[in-house]
Amino acid sequence: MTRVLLFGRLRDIAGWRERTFEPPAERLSALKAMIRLADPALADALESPGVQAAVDKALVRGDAGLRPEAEVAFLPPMSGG
Amino acid sequence: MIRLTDETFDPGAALNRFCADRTVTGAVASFLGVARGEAGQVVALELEPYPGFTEARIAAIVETAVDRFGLQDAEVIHRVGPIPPGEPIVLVLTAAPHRREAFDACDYLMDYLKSRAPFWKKEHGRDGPRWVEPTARDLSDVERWRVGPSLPTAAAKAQGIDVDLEISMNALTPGGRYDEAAAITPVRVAVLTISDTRDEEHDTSGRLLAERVEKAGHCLAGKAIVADEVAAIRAQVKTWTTSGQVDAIVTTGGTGLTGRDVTPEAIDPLFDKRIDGFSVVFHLVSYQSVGLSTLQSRALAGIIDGVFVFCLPGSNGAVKDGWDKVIAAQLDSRHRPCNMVELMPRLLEI
Repeated sequence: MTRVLLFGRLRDIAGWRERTFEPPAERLSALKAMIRLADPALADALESPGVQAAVDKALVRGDAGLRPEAEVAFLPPMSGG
Repeated sequence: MIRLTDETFDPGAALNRFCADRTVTGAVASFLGVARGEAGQVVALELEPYPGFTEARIAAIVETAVDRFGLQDAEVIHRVGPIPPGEPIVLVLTAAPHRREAFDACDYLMDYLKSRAPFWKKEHGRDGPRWVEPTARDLSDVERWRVGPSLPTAAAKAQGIDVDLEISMNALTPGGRYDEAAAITPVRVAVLTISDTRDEEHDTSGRLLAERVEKAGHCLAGKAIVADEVAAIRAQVKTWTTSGQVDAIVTTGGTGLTGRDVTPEAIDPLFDKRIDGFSVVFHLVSYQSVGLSTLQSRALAGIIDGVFVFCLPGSNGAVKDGWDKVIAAQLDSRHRPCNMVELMPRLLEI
């Protein structure tokens, strides 16, 4: 089971904040393919400039491997302060 | 200290608490961000964190500021949830022996919080809600603090940055310059700490390298810690050099002269090509910092499977010298007359 969290505008596009995907994805690319099947608009948004991914609360680049129980968060550009 | 709160807070009380019992501090600087009402156009701001991750990222930013500016202490209080206009959003407090460091660190922290802290900001206005993303100004503000060779661009001058000071700090080498018009080509850099005693929490030189890699605009392709064991060092390095995901590896530690220091013994036999000049130049640079102590390190570099591998000592100072004054320039595609990035496509040619 891969747990997926969305933040900021990604949540508005998808209409959900947190979802689990079954069977668990082995890599980030596989997870994105699963998302594309379910929601192409969200999949496009995940590829838009400035969107980063965090796996188990650590930023990753490229096609990271995922634990079976991984928590994957998609993070649009951040803005604090 | 870092605190996220969904309630309003009293900045004055926080400042008083922060200043209490300081006997060696000479300067405390503070910055308070306030929710703007935009003359009634904005009804409320809403800030969403990623619990756990947000605190950890801010802690890393604060830790970098403490290290970079020599702070004695720093505190960040950040609101989350809905924030009505006029209420405080963020308070940054810094304490240092002298005012310049306290001011600069405060400025630095706010620039990083603006575009690097994991918050997502929604503005609820008269015309409905909208997501607020960092502005071009926010992004150029944070660029001001980039570590490593930076360029005297017109933009930097317009922002009032002391370009001459930046250059002297970055020790531009004889004949070296940067193509101001070009954009940097990001390279994928993995950082390996070689130490019997360090864990992630205590890996200061590895963290320092990882931060520099990212601040320079490169991708941190991996970070690991292995013991001072030849087999473990080789295994991790080969995993990266054969992954196709890494363009350069920088190691820290294990280059000394004691029996447990085996980084050169582990790495040297793996080299397809040795870059002997790296050791020479590193020692030149390091001699300026630590004098003859540089003799006690055996820094080296070479190419393995088409991947550049640089081995630096384990001390923070040596890592700063090695990255800031040697490696950063060679991994910067804008460096003229030459850099190693332009060679990358040709490393495996037959």
